[in-house]
Amino acid sequence: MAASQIGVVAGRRSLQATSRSHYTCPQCQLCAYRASHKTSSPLRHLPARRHASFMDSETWRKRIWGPNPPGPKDLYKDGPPSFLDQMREKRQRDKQEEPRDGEGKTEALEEGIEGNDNTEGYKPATTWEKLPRIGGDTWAKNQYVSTHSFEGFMYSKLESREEIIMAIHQALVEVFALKQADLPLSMDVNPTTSMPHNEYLRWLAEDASFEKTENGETQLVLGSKELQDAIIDSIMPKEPTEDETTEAGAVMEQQQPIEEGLAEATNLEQVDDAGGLGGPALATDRQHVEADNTESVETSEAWPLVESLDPANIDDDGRPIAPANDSWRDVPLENQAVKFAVLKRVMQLTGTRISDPNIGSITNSKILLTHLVKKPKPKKLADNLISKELAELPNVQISKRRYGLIDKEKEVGRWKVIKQELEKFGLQPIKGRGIGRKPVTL
Amino acid sequence: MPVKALRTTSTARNGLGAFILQCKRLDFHYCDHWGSSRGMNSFLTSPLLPHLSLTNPSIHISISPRPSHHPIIRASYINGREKVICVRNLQKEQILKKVELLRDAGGEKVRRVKGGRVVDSFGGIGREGVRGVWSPYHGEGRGVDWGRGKVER
Repeated sequence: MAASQIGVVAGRRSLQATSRSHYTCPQCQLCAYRASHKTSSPLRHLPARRHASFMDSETWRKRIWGPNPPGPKDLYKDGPPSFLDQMREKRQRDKQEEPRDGEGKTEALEEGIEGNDNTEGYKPATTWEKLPRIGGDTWAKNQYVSTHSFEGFMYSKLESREEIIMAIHQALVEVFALKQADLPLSMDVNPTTSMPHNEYLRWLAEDASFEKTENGETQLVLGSKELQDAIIDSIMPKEPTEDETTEAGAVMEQQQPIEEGLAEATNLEQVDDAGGLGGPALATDRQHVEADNTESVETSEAWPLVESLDPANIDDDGRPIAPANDSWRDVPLENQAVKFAVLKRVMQLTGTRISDPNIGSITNSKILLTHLVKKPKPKKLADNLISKELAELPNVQISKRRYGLIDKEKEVGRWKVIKQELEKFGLQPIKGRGIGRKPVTL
Repeated sequence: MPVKALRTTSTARNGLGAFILQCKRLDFHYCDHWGSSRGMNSFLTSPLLPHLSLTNPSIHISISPRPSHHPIIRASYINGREKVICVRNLQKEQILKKVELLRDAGGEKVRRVKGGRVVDSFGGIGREGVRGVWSPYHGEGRGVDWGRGKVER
């Protein structure tokens, strides 16, 4: 017998021996089965490294494209380099082109030094005190914010009730003055007048009121024609100069189809969007109109009609300026065009925005006031309790802060002792708890 | 022979000579913001609390906020123990009942009474007395003079 045959026979015998006399675990049986059936593996004809390149794509290409398919036969061999290959090549090229460490940098430094000849008074700094700092987390943001200050449509908010009442009165008078003069209900974005704001308000408060006609309509009654002229002159939109028309015109063209659709659908009076609440157009228009106003106003001083009114809205007697009568409270705001014009002006004057759902519920000026006057902030319960008789009872203690462990110790009188003991050991008494606790400074 | 009476002394108990209220302090904690503290807030602003403090002058009542937590009532007793009841989402009348529960309790741990023993007034008869057990909370009671006139319990 040949050696190989002996080996095979021995192998078979060993298998047989194991199967008869000894127990073999299922794992060993599986290994033996695989070893014996290795030659007949169904996946043998496939290469170990499976790649799409080995697959015959020609048949598929012919099925898709027909008898003469376009492109290379094997995309992986004949096609263009893959993205990863391209990146690899690029990195290699960049590495070869890069200067070695220090070479490029020193050249740039030398150029900089050569260019700066004025070295008088130059003293190299030893510390970074008083040196300008560039970079960091918020440096870039601060640079942008300092040069791009935003001025919104609505100015500083009015807080007091009297100022808000005066603002509503002013808005109603201005809108009704335009309406009675048969002018479009559009105002200048930044109205100005030839007199100080305080005087203008006082004039309006004294000489402007509302009356009901026989038909039941509300009519504005002004004390003099001069007041009417002053109002209309201040709030009418001023014509822009030639420079601004080209820039504003592009913006207007974009908004024209929207305006036409609105006018057709609702049959409202045309609202000039230059003074409207539209966001992006507004800032540019306002800047141009502001520049224009300073030139077009004939008087020497132009007083803006929207100011922060805190110190100015006070009479000579020290009392806040208020309308002469309460006729402004019953002015109806059912006409949509009038309503929106009044609301726009009021929002600009008070700085308080009225949300859209609330606009529908406003039918007269009294309701408008309720939406603008802010309710007082609710007090804390501790403040409420302290103001009551409960605080006067001898066995009741009310505290505004959370009653903690240190407060407990302080009540008993132990805190002093604890603090002294901690200081004896060189430890600082801890104030507060958790991550934010800070040592108490002695 | 005449029957001799046994000399005994009365067992010392709270209430035998004088009654000392076990609850010495009540801490009320509330939150200004959480909705579960609405009942507690209304209890603190109602006249129930001032009446409670007037009728229990020996109890030190402390009111302090405990933000972002449910409202609790913490009672401290003479034996040094404390009892806490969370009164979240309770109405002010329900809170008053909890306060009275804490006030009337002692500092001892609440234990299960085994054996079904009967508390008898007459020291060992083994059955409930007809007149019931004495308690300091019933009857006429005693008033306290705070300088504003006697406040009756």
